Amino acid sequence: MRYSLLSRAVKLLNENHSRRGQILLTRSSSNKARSELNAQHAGQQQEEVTKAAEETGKLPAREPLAKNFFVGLTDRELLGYPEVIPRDEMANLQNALLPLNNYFAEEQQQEQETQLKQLGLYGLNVPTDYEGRGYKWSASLMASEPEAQHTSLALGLQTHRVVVDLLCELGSLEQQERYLPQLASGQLVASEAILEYTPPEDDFFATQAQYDADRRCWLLTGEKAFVLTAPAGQRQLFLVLAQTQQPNVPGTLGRSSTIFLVDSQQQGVRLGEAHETFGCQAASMRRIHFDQVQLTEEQLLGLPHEGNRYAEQLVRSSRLRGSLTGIVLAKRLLQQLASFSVDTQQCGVQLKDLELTRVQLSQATCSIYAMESMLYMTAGLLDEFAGQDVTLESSITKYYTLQQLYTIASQSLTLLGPQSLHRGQFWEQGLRDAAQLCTQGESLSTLSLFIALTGLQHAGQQMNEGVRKSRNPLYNPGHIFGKFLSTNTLEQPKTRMLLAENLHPTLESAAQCIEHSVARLHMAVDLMFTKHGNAVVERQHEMQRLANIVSTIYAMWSSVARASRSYCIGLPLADHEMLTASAICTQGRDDVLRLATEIYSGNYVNNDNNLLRLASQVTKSKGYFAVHPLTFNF
Amino acid sequence: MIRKLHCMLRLQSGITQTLYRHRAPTILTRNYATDEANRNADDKNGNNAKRTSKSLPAVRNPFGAAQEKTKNSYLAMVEIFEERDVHRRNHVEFIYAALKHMPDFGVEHDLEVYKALINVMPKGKFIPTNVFQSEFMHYPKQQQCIIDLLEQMEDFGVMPDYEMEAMLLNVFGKKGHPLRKYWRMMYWMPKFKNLSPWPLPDQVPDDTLEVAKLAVERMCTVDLRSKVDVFETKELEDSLDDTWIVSGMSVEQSKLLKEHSPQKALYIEGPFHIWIRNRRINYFTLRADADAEFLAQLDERQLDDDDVSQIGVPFFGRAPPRRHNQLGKVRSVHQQDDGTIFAICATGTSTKDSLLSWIRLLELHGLASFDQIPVLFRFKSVVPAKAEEIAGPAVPSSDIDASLHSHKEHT
Repeated sequence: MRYSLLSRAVKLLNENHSRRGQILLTRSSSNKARSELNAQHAGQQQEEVTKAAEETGKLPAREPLAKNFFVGLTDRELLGYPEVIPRDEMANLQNALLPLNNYFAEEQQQEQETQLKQLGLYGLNVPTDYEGRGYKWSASLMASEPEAQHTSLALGLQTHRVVVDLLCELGSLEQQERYLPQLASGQLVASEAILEYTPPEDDFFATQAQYDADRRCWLLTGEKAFVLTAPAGQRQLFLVLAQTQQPNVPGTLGRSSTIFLVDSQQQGVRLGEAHETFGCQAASMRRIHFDQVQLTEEQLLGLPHEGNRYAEQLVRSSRLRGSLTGIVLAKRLLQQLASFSVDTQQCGVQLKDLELTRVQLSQATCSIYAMESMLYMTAGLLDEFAGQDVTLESSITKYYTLQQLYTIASQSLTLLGPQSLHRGQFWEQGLRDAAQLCTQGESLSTLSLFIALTGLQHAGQQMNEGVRKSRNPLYNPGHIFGKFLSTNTLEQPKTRMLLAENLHPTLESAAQCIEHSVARLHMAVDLMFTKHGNAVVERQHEMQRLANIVSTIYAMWSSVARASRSYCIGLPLADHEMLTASAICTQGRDDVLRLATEIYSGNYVNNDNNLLRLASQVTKSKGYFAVHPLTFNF
Repeated sequence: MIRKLHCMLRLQSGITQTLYRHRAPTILTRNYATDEANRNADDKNGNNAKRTSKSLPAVRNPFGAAQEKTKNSYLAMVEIFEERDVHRRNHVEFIYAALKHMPDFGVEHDLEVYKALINVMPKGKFIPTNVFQSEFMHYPKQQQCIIDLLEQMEDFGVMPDYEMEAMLLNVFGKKGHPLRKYWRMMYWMPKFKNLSPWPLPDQVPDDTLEVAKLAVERMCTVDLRSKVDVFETKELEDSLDDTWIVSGMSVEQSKLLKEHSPQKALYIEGPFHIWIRNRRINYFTLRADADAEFLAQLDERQLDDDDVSQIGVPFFGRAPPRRHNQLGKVRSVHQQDDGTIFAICATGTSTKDSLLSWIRLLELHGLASFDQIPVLFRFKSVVPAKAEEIAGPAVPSSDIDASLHSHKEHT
């Protein structure tokens, strides 16, 4: 709905070349006035974005959704679930997906490589100009659902697509012409080579690249680990992040990283030992050694020394595509769990009638519903708005998905008993794959810190003035009195977001839950800033709580948006979707309240202080320190 | 019995022999030392004499004269006293004398010996029979004696056990003051027993090398990555002393040393003292003056705490930022305001030569490299005699740099 209406409006405005109109559209209605400097800066940015939007046919970017949760703002408009694939294209897409679905349903294993190439799986997200399918984010995610039935296979394809995504965004025209057609046909299989087995203590990477000014080329040396490789004989393209030193900037300040595209057949590239992994055993992961590999300047992706700046685009893509693999695995687990509980009888009672089983099944359903909604909502935001900032949304999606996936996989063990871990069983494989996905790329704890820090960064810029006042109460008595007099409490926050207006009326209480949760998050952030100032970055446990809060809120938000849409247009079982969304919101509200209360009560009440004290003894004793319980002292 | 006989034979061969009791049967004839011998023993243990300075009654003291000062002979003497006659006359004086001489026999930490002394007391006789007796300290001299015994146990950190409780109960009854003392001890002593954050092994080893290792290990707990190495100077060809060196250094310190500017001298300072129970170990530090520039830089970098608009986000699973290392480094625990400490050591001889060997060995084992960096000695306190011998008489034992030009030319 919104799509067609707004795009028509944009066209109209563009025809009139009305500058005022552009700004009218770009300024989101729910925004507070910012400081002058910020506004100016943002204005400039938005002009650029608007231009970009005109070119790509997308809407101009809105304020970041999840980042604004940290400052207590919401964008009601985004409660409409994005419909980014038009009706006619959707029909085409579904037709195109039929052969994929059939192929993966049959489980043919022989000549997999050629089959995959024939099915066009390598070119799903390559633009049509380069012989690819040209699917955008949402469509390419949808199209990769069938293959995700085979987690190992999906991992390989996923990293291929991530490289393609980055090449489309950053690559020069020549690079795109050179690589994309081959990547689309599968002649060249791409793979990321970012992580290292033993990263150096105080550098980014041990893999180094040096510029040789005489020969105008780069020399790459080092090794990367955990690289997904294609079977032998296949030509590969590695996306390598290497440490470089900026010319004329000595020491640590000039330390930077650069992205290179390295062909596996180049001189000096050697495939190393394979990693024996716990899960996803069909996917081969290996070390790759680079020994003085000569790289021309055309093999450099983006600008030199700017790797960290591009990192965001790189991880965004891999986070979204990684989440999809997790969601499909979770769905399969739930499916098996459901049929197991229907088929099994214990002492004359069907397992499905036991309350414990029922709760477990529903909880799994709720989390899968939330993660699916989050994934397509994020992809939709990317497709709908030009240059939309979804850093936080994509990382939340991955964080939430993997956390819940592992919970589902491990909880099924309690239901199934010892048979669940028999070698070769479906459950065993599922648990192994879930664990593998959790370690793939970045660990969940660093991801949670990334989420919190990104949010705090955004909030810090906007709340700086207020925080300074709160931290210097004697200089700003008025500010403090205002705080004392406000009747806003953590239990009963006052909100005027009117989220319910953009939802089906049945979801009013769910909307209320979201409003309260956002307000609580804002209050928690405000308190943390006031308490710690910029030392807040050292409070990692509190930051993890923030990450959990914001993940829950985004899960609530997207589930409610999706359920409301489904119910309004009458999709099958939409009433149960409503129930699911309500369940997610009720649960989410309680979780957020608990976490926010923990932050509010401080480290002496919420047990953090005890834990930190204990940890220092544990490290001193290098492990468990208590003596045996039966020890005598005299 | 064998123990007793053995002891008696020893005593028989004493220098001065006086008969203590005429009516003692021949087999139980003992020789107690004269008071002269006692005086000698007192002088030797001046500390003990001061502590147990209660005027002793003029009773001959067998402990001062004993030739073989072992636990066995000590217990044998107690046993002899018990069997001497039924009345056990002067047992309080005997116990005081026994307590006083415990350290000579090396039994001051031995619970069994204390029990043997309590066992000297007659059972049942001192138990009060009514309220007044119990409250007004029935047999005060005897009770005070055992209280003093318990006090001495406490001072030496010997914890009583339940058998001792039973013994005290048999001697003084449940209202006895020694028993109250015992109960108080049993409340507090277990609580203090394991309170040290750097507990020592139950039997602290006697070997100086082992004690030195304990000492260096304890000092190194400041950095959990520290490693304690034991070097032998034999490894080096041109070392004069043949001794051991216990050296403590951490990865962090190696790194700091690597970054140390060759323009600035390193100092070997010492000897400083550390006490392990009753042993003193001398140790030396390898340090440099504090890097004032770096520390000032850190101070500068303590930006406005209130400014929350510049929060950095790390990439690729890098460690999340800490406030002060967003731009660079954090201050290590070894970088103190008065200097940066790179390593510590204790050597067997504490001589200048052994310290020079230490520096060479650190280099040999790849823990540090000292090329170009001048290393100076700076002895703070009295230099051991041997150091003077080697470095020549010109070494001043004051706070001044000992040998300003004794740097790397040696190696």
